[in-house]
Amino acid sequence: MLIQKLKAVAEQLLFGTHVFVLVLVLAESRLVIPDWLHVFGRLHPLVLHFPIAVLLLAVVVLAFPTLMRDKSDSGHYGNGLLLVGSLAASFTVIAGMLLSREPGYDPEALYWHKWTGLAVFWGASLLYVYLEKSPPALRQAGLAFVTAGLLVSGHLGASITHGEDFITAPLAGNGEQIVSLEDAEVFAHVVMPILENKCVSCHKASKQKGELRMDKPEFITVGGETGPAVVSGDKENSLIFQRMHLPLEDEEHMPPKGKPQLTEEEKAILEAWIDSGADFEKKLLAFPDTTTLFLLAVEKFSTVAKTYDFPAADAGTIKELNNFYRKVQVLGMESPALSVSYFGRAAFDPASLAGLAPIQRQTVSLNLNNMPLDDAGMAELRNFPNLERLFLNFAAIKGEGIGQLAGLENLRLLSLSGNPLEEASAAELEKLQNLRQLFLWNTGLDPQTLDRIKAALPNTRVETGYKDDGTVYQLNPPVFKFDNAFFREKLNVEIKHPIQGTSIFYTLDGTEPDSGNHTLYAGPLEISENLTLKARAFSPGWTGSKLSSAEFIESDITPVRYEIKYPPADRYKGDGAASLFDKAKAIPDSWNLNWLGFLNSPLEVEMDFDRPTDISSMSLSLWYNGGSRFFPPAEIEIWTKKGDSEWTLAKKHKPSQPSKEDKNVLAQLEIPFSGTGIEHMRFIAHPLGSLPAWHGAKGQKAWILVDELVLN
Amino acid sequence: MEKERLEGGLNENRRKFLSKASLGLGSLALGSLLVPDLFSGSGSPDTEKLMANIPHFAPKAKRVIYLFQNGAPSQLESFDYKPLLNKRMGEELPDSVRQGQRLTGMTAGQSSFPMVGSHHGFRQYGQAGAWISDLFPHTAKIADDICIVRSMHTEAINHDPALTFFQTGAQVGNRPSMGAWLSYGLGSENNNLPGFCVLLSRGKGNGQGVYSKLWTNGFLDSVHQGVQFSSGEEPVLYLSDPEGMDRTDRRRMLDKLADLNQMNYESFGDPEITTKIQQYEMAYRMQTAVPEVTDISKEPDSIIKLYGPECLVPGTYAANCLLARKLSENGVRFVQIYHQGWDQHGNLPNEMAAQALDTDQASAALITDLKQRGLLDETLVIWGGEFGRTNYCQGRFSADNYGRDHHPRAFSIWMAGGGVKPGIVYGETDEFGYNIAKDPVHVHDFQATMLQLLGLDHERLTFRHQGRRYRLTDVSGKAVSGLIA
Repeated sequence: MLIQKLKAVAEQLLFGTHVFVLVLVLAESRLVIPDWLHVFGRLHPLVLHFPIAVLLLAVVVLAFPTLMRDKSDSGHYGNGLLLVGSLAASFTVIAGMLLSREPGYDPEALYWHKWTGLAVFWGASLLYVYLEKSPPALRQAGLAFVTAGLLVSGHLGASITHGEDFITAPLAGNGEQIVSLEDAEVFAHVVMPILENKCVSCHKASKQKGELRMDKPEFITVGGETGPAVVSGDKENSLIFQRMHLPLEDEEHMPPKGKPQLTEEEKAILEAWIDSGADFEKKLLAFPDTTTLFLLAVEKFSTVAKTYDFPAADAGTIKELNNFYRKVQVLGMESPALSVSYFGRAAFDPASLAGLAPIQRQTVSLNLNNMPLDDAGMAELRNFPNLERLFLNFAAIKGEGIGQLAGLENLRLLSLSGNPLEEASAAELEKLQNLRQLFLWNTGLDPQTLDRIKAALPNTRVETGYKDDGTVYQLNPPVFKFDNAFFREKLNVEIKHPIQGTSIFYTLDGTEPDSGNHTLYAGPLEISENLTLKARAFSPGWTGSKLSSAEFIESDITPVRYEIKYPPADRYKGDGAASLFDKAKAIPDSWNLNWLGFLNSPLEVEMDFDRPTDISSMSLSLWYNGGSRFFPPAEIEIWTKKGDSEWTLAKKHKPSQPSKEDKNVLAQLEIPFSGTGIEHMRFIAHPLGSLPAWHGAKGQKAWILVDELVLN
Repeated sequence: MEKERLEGGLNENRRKFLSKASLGLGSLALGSLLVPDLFSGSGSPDTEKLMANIPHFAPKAKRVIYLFQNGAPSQLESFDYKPLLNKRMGEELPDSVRQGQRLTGMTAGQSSFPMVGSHHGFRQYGQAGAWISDLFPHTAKIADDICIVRSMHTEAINHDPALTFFQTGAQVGNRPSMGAWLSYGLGSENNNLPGFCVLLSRGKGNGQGVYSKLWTNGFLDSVHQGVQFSSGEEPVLYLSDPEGMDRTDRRRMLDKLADLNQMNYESFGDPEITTKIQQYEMAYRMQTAVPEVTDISKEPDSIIKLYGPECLVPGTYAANCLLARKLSENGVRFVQIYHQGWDQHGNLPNEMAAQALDTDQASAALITDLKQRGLLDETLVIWGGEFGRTNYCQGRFSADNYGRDHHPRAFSIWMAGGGVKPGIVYGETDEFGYNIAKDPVHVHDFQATMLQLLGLDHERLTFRHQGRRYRLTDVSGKAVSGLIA
């Protein structure tokens, strides 16, 4: 009873929806749809699943009554399912009609989807009404019609949302050609795919909107009714550029509103392509790797790993072919390709290339840099059919042998930098049209020849490298070679410069060597007195060097025994007392291990001489550095003793202290002391207990930093 | 051989027994406690292939040259242009930017954090319009060849742990360093030279130490340890035979020594003995290989001008860059350069200028030089320090003399060649230059990217030690596809 009532309500509802659908179909775009109805329209993708499932179920139940436990149930259930299915179809159709009124849908694609959908709805409704009364044949035909309609309409709908090739895409993907960076052409592999996706559907042989075809290069330059689509190098006048940059609302905007639009990246690529001359043939690698087009496009190819059709070489063979001067490496775990590198110029034998016969087919990269391979030896390179990268830098190639490479179809990179190429080699190089990268730095080819090669190889990036651009650099200062800056009696000093052919000017009187005042260095100097050597280096094509300077100090007397009473501070402990008499000069760097530093205790050293010694002069080698608080001692005491007698104070000296303006220097502090027949001596230097008032840390203790104690 | 071994085993005497018991059995027992599956062998095909030094996949880069700027150069005076800091010079860094992030002990006590902008100007270069400071005019010229990463970040805030973290993937130093991992994963290309070489130089700026744990082999075989070249006139000391000994004598001596070592190996089975034999052999071959590689007298004049005349002075950064190219060209997998002196806590504008002057030309020259030889494609060059520097002033503030403290939250490095995207700027910091705003790259990400470029999967390049597998990137890190061409 209740079922009957529900059925009656449903039938009336179905009738109502038929009226509503008819209005929608007839009114087409004349009807204004209120916003809230759009919400219902957007339910289309949800509700469409109900009629598909329910109507298919109805078809199954009606077409195969034997499936039911009781055959009579077939008509009963089938009838109910048809009603529910038709009703669901009605909602789907209404929602679909409303949704189709929203922007963004291609009316052409919608056309057949709409009419097949309507056909399903009407067909199912008619079938419901006449189910009982129609002859079985007609019934079966009706069922078949509804089923076919459902499938076609569903498929067309899915194509709109997921794209036409959605189902077959995984199959198509397998057959897709993978292009490696070396083989990629700018038009065919970068620009054309964009056009194909976004333009060609309306601009092709079967459908030439605006009389424009974009499926072949020649049609693109010819253009359509308003002119050529692309003007080489002139994007402002290229219609593609103009149309894609019009506002979306503009009627002329391309692709039209509602069609899939160009992404920002695609626009940038098209622009860069037109800017670069809209070439239809060039390889991507022919563009300098700094151009916008290259940078935008390169990403599409680089991640593709190259696959090879030759078999992998035997692991044992590979191992055997490896030796100390030749490395054969497998490119990767999954790859049959090999790379071979040679090392050790002296050990190179050109015949060893023939020894690679078992793996010549697998070798894709061959590095012969710095090997003395000559033109004759290059003949063997013909036997590496799959060679892609060949490095021959600083070999002994003049040019003839390059012809041997002509048959290497896969060769993409050739590096000939540093070879003494002859002009005739250009002709051989120009034949290597498959090359993508060619390196010709430091080859002796003149600029005109290089330009000619570049012009002859449009798909190749020819790298000519750094050329001395005439920038004048400063020479580095000369270097002094000597044993020790503190010397006994005399010292040999050599002056060297790392650059051959530089002239070295020097002085020994402490003045700076300049054009008017110098001696040209000719050979080692013999130094036998305290002096400062200053030198500069000069050479044509360079600015003169900065000054090198070294102080040499005679230090004739060394005690046989010496001992420091208070150890130096841990930070500057050098080699202990030995540092005072090691004749080595410390440099002004607190990390230098020659310095002895005293802060809280005095430098007190006791010395014994092997025989009574006359001392005529004495000095202490110091580092003054105000900022680091390295100061001269406040007071120096010298005590002497003969035999077992008592120590006597021989001299007390207060060195002068630097002022604020004094620069940081290494200084010889002269101590006004002389004596004869000295056997034992005690030297005490007290650090300054309180920094002067001008110093930032006034009142605090100062360091003494001592290098050497000089006695003459 | 087997028979002799068995007989040797039967001829046991007391001394042999005791020495075996203490050294052999004891260490075996200990070993099996520490490494439970010591005797079960490692069976995975992945490891076996790695043992044969075959990369996981076809590599883009074959070799690495790492120009490590030790001490942490300021990103704000080099590659991360922050005009806002100049505009708001001296103003207090807003708390909302720092958000209470930790500071070092050196500035934690500072009562004020005045922002300070670069004393040195910036200009844009290259296709990507990369901002590069006026201190690096030569680097600016190669802007289209390099990839500047402005969004590096690390975990450590002080030099030692940060350096160790960069080099070994862990802050405490017991792990193998990058070069050792590469040598383990890919082997040496040239059997006459070490697979991993280390070159040191020092600039005039405030420096921080470098030490051998930064090029350690850790738990890997010691053939993978970095070989430190001397900064003096002879990069490798004691290469020439002493007077009175010629090559044949040397050869005979080494053969005898190898025999003795082999005997020792047969009775002890310690793999370090084989390593030792290999090292002696390598040293023998280095006697001829090294002089050939380190000879710069045959370099064309234009090369001297390219790198600058300093490249002829042994031990300078420029000389090391040139030497790095020569080593790399000769198949050394990983050349690690350390240049000290980038720790500008004070006097930054002057010290940084001096440091840049020492390094800029040679760094750029290395790229140009590799490029003109066709080698840049397969050589990855990296320039950078262990962390960045703060956007606020350390110590006394003045607009033309200031210092910057350590800053691990954001810093800049650059990479070139070896399959890195050229001419791009990757990542961004906020307008204060304090935090990363876009595309952060963690040190482990950087390491994973480097391994990826060399054909190694950072998750598969492992070594089993003390009961677990270790990798350079520890337990995190992701190769940054945005950096890979």
